[in-house]
Amino acid sequence: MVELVAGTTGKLVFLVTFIVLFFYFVNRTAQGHKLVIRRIAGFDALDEAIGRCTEMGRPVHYTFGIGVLDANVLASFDVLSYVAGQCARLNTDLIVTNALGEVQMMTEEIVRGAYVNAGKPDEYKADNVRFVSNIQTAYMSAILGIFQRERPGANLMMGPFYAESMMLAEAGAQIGAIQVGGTGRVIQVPFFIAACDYTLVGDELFVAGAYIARKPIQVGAIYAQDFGKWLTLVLVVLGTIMSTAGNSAINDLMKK
Amino acid sequence: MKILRASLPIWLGVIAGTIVILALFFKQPTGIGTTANWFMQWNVILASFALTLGAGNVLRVHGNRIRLKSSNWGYSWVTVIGLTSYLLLGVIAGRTNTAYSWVFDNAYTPLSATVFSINAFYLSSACYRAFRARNGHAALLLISGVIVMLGSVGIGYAIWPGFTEIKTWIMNIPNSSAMRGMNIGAALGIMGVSLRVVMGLERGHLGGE
Repeated sequence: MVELVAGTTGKLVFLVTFIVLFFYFVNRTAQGHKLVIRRIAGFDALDEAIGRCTEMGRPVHYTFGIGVLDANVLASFDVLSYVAGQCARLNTDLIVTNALGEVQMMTEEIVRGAYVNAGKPDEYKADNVRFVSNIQTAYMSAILGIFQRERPGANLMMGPFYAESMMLAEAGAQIGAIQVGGTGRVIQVPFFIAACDYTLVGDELFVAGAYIARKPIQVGAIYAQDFGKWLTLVLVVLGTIMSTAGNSAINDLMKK
Repeated sequence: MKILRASLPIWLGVIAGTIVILALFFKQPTGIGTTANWFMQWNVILASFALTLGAGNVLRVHGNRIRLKSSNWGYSWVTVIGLTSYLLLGVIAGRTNTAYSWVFDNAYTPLSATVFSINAFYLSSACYRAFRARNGHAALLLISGVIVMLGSVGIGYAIWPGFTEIKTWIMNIPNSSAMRGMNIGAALGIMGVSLRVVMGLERGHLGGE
């Protein structure tokens, strides 16, 4: 016997539609159709930031924020993998700070893997992938200390950020680091915009795998996301017009 | 071993993710909800154990610094002594012990508040840089920022009561619309990443495959 939870029918319909679109576009890319993604300045700036560190002889700093292991962190792994690979190729030190115990081992694996793929496994420095603390203020203090003592030339912040976003971004700006910030926690985006050189807004962080690695399957998934956005926009506009005209059909559907 | 490293984590993700998503939508069969809860409890347990790995990393990194007498190695002693002594105090005396609470209340809490208070200065300097009217967008940010600030404090109302009304309009109409737009985009992005993980298409977390 199958019984739905009350109030979830609309969400289930939306999810199923999204999954259908997802498979449709993943199949299209698998069949060789070329799908294009617009340029995202935040990702394009990564090479500039790492190159600047190489020229200045300073390390790159990368951190995930204090939130839990969620889609933000999973998307951030793709960026970290790319950054670590570039640092390995350019012989630039990479310092990764972590507040999530459960992510520490994955982070070490990703950075080590990038150095191995770049053909420089001996260059990997295990002590540069650091768990600092899962307590927000201790995490911030540890990174502020790293900024003052090790003077990174680039500060890359991608993941689930909370109040630490402002402090880390501004402290990074004060040591002259080029900064790229990205988070799916929309409430923190204004702080990154105010203090960072480049900011990934809204869903931009979540296209990292597709944009940086150009994996066809992931590019297909991004198209499904964009169609999801259009679908949402149509529902919002239609719902507004119908509600104004006194018809609550779309409102009722979303509440079901 | 190859199966353990490559396939098992993906299949665990596929099974756990699918069951947790199904439990959001279906009451029956009851087994789905129970299994989803079971997976989520395991998530908490595993995260707690993972913290031990984090503490191990802290001790290893700072232990190496002390051993090699790297720059600022004296700070590493502070970290190692602080971590181990408080851990031992908690394990031996227990979390309800007076000494354990005293250290928390008189060392951690004021230090924590001090670090947080610095945020006010960082916020001010960030606002100063962001509000410089270098181009049209920055000028717009400056104007709306000043209006919102004046509309939020008593002196703004005393200067001109209209500040409060304009601030309310800025916060409720353009600000809310933009934030909701970004939220919808982020939510779809989260759905996309989650689906890729649940379907085993996203493997970045398995070591950059």
